[in-house]
Amino acid sequence: MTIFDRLFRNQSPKHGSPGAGPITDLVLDWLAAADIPVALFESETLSPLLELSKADAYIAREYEEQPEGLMHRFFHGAAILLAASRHPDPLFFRKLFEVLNPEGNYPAGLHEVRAFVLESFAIPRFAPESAVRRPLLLGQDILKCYHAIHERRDQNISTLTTISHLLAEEKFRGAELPLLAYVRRQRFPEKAYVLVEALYCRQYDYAAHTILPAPATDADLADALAESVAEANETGPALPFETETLLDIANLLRFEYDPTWRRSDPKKRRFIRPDDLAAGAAFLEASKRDPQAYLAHLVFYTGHAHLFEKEPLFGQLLAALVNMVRPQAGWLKALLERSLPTSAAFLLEKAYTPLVSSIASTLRPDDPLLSTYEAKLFGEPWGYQTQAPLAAGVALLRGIAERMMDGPEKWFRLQRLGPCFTRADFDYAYRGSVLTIPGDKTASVQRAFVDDLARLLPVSWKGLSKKTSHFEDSDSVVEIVHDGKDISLFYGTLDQVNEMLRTANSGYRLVPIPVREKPYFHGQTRWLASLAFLSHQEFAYLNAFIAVTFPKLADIPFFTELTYVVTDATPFPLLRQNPDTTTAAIAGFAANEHWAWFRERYIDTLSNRAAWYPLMDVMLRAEPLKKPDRKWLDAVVQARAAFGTEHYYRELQAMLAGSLGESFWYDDRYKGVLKGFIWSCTFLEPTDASLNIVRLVIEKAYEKVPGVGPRSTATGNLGLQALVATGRQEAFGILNMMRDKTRYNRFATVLERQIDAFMEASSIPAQLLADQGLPRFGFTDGRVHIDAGDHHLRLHFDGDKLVKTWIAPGGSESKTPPSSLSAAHPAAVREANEEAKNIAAAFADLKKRVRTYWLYDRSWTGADWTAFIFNHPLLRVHLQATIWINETQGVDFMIRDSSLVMMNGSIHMPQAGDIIRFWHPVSNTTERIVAWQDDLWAKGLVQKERQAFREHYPFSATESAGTGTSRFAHHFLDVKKLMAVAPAAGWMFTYVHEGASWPRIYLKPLNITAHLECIYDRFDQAIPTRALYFTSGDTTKLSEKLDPARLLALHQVPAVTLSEICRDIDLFIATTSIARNPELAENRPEWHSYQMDYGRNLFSDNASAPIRKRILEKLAPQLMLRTPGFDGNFLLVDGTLHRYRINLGSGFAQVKSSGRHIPLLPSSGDVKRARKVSLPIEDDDTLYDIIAAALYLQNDAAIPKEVFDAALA
Amino acid sequence: MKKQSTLTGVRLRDYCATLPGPSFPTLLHLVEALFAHHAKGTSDHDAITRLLDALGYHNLGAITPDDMPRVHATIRRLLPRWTNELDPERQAYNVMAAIVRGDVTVFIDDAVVTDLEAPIRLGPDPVLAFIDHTRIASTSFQIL
Repeated sequence: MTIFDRLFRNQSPKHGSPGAGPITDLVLDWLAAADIPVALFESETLSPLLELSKADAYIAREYEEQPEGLMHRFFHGAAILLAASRHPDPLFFRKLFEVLNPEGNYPAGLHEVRAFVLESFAIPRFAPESAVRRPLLLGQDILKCYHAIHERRDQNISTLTTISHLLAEEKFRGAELPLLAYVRRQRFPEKAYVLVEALYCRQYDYAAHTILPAPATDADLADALAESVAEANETGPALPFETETLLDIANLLRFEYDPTWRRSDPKKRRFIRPDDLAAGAAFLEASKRDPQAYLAHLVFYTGHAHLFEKEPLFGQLLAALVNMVRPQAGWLKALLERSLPTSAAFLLEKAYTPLVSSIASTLRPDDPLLSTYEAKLFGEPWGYQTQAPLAAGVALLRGIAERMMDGPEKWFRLQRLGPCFTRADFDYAYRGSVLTIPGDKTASVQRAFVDDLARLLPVSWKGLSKKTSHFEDSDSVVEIVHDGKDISLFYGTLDQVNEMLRTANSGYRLVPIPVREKPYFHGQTRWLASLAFLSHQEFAYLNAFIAVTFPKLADIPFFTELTYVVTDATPFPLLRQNPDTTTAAIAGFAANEHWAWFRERYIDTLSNRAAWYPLMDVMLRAEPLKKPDRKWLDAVVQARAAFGTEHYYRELQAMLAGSLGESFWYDDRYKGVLKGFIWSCTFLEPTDASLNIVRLVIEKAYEKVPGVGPRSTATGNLGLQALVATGRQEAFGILNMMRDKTRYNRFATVLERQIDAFMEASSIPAQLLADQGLPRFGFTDGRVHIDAGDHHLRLHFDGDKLVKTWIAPGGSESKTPPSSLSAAHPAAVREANEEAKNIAAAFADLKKRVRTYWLYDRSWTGADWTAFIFNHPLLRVHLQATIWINETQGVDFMIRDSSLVMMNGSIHMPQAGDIIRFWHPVSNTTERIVAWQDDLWAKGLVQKERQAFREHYPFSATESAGTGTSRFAHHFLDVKKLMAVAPAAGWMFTYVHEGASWPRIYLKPLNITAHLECIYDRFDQAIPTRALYFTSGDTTKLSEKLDPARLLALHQVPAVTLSEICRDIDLFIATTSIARNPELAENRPEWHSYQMDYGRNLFSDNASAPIRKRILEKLAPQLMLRTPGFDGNFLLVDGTLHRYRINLGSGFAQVKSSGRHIPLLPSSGDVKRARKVSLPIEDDDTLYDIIAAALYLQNDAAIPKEVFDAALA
Repeated sequence: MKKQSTLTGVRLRDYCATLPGPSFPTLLHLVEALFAHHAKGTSDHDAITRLLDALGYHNLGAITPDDMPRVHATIRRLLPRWTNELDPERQAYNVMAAIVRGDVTVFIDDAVVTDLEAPIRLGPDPVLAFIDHTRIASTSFQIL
């Protein structure tokens, strides 16, 4: 019953009646202090305000329905605002904010008063443009200014920027500046900033597209600015303000009105330089007078401002000024000590660090300036861009620390200064379990960490895996190899690494050195810690340091329980001074520590491993090269000569096939070698096999990693460029195969670009060129032989299955590799199998081209068709039993084995000039279609790409003349499913921007785009389909302003293409219609009714008259129906008295002779209960009614005569 | 089958959509395959109807909080039976028994199935009908 309670008794509770409370007391006191009698306030302000506001329908209705609440709000709100404008006493303001932000529960009605006072009164709904409104609005502005200056409780109420905005608005309103007068009376350190912001604003004339000149009131603001400067300089600060400089900053800020800035693309504004803008150039010129003062003022302004897209410009301005000054340590310290919270990280990078750096050589390691700087460096809040302290700043401090005297203090200081910082969570009984290494894109921090580790243990950097989307974004998993095993460093890094160190009996342990405590969420704290390898001696120093500096960390179990076995290790910083043994060993592959695991895992398992070592030396040399030079290529040829080109490609393919899925190949340290492999496949006598290896690499690199994107566009593009650079047809064929195969739009776009690049040099149409270039893998007469040790592997196709036959030197054959071969040459067997697998995969991909013959409305000359389609050894396997049409000769024929057979069994011979197309039912007559269908049935042939039985969608002449079709309209499709299904069919439909996308497909060879129009926003679970349109060119979503010029009439789209597009859409509807998702359909009435409509027809093909007729024809004898047959849409039944006819559509019965309707009312009330058998197919109720009525009527003698006569009377 | 059956376009013959293929060794296999993807009688509404039937009520409103222990007990007791009743194999055999009894006639693609052991091959646009004679026999008419 609760559901009914919820449905029918759910009335919103009445608002509590607001009563007197602290707010009323405050209001009355304040009015009294402002010398405003309550009666006067009510008559002069409240009543007119209420009356004028009632012009607004919403307020009028509220006044009718809940007058109490409204009056409470208006009375208190208006009184507060009026009192604030007349008597802006900080005492009352302070009290007001105390009352408005009470601890605990809000008293009834207070929330509404708060919203009225602080927010909603600004809306013009309340007594718009009236004399009574103006003082209240001023009161609200003053209230906001007071909050921004003195309270700063809630940034939603107001911030410093709010004051600037309000002052700027006021200066354009008229000569009266009451708000400025109020602000002038306040004292606060950011006053100059606020006034500068208000001062620079100009008005824009939208009609004339010009900036209006400065209003006269700017003079008052300038006065106020001068006054605020004098005020700030009263105390004699280290960095005094100058009015003139501040005015120059205000002038600088007017660069926003410069056409160069205003008309630029916001995304490209980062390329605008200060000199490009008149205001910027003038500022830099003026600053030459006293660069230090200008810098201090600019830092002051920047530190308070929200720069956003202006950041790069200010970065350049700061850099220019920093270059001009030679700062004194005292001045710099004063600059650093100024609190500028808004852009702190920006200033640290652009001003403080370069400034300190410029005088670093003169600073002693214990200079107080450095501790101020260090506090700034480590004190910055962690934003999403600043996960670790500024690396340049840390490096600067470390450089200075290097100058200290050798000794424990220096070692410790160096260790504390990174370079590897981490967020340590000491709050939880910390045992090193939660520890991450934040880093940037280049993973420099992680690399530095692994390099340090490599000094203690034989470990190699393997890469950075991106599978961290469920953790914090910038954290990554570091992959290393140790003792031949892959190890992922992420959670538990400390324990893991320390265990490795312990096992290796090392004298070092990995320890987080706390640097600074940082507030985290919900009152927790996290620590910025430097992750360092400490010797026993260093660890003891750390413990002493913690006891003094961070006593609350002294009891953390990690620090108390860490044990050392070897206690006499040298401090780690000394170890770091030794040359890096690992990178120095790059000279040779055999000796290179980094590659040891790779050598063992991949190279040593190859057939000719000895020949691979010198080859890998050459590959290692590819890393620094931008493109392969002659010298390098010659070296490859020489190294490759040891085992023959063919074997080299086979072994390379086997090695890459096993390893390309691993992330290390795309890491900087390894991808140079992959680059070398790609070059070796494309720049030296490329073959089908070698280009196919490049294809493997490209496809793997462009494989979509969920939540990340392509695995490595850099490697993928390198492969693509190398492929294009070969200029060979085979490469073009491979590009097209990848294009036909991929369902990843991003990859498809890149491929299209490369295909275009390739096409520029060719006069042959792209698709024909692609046909010519499809790889054949050396198949002749349907077979190919591969060497495998002393055996051969023969490959041929049986149907579409690739059959492998191993042939021994003596000629004996077997289906599996002989055991002697497997034992003697395991690598050769593996490599031969790998090549067979690769051929099989390429063969499977070729199939995807077949459908494009229709989609792109292809036709060939007889000569081209025979050469590139029919005689292609792999393609022909797919094309068995396909039907083609020779348009010139007007005959259809089918590919059967290696001949072309017409329906009558005779052989067809196309002439070189004949035009040949792929047969499609839509361009054929029903007779031809049926004839081919029968022929296929008779011969028992199955078409892999269905042709004769293909769904096709012919359009009538009237429909074709239109620019769209609504055939597929009024279906609701499940968005999520459609986003999976449509891209899989080659369509584009992804979450772009709201409303920016619906399913569309661009058919490049025809240069048309098909759009399935759906109105969709990203919150929709189901979208209603509307029309199918075609446009010329590659168009995105058709906007509301549908441009008829771009729309194509349907007859301009080839019929075959149109039919295939319709087939896709039909597939989308069939698979994604929400009629198949009852749970979703129940969410909205319109979906539900759609589902019901659809559902009624789901089993409904029986429920149509023609099908009922087919069933009844056969069933009649069994049911012993006395029927002479059918009369059009009626079943005829012979009764004793009459002949009857029953409508097959409705089930209604009539007397045949008179056409008289017999009012039969079937009663099947008990049927369902009586029936025990549950049938697998839904009943067609009408069919049952027809049969039962027929049986009833043929036995009409049993019906009481009077009843029957009465009915027919 | 789904693909073979749609020459007309939008609406597919749903009962064929989930069949594994057009060929079946016997009618029993076809019936079982149809039941395997059969959603009839499995909705929440059907479950509630069964429960109400078992309790002897006609609507949910009749169930009071005091009835809840009985409701739980009924569900525990009868759930295995209800599940069993929906078993495709059991349902298929029930249908076959009904066919043998002559209560049900099966019509496939313009022919009445007479040989239950014969292999079945559905055509490209198949029509299937199961005609329940008991239902026809139990239909009575009233002439108005």
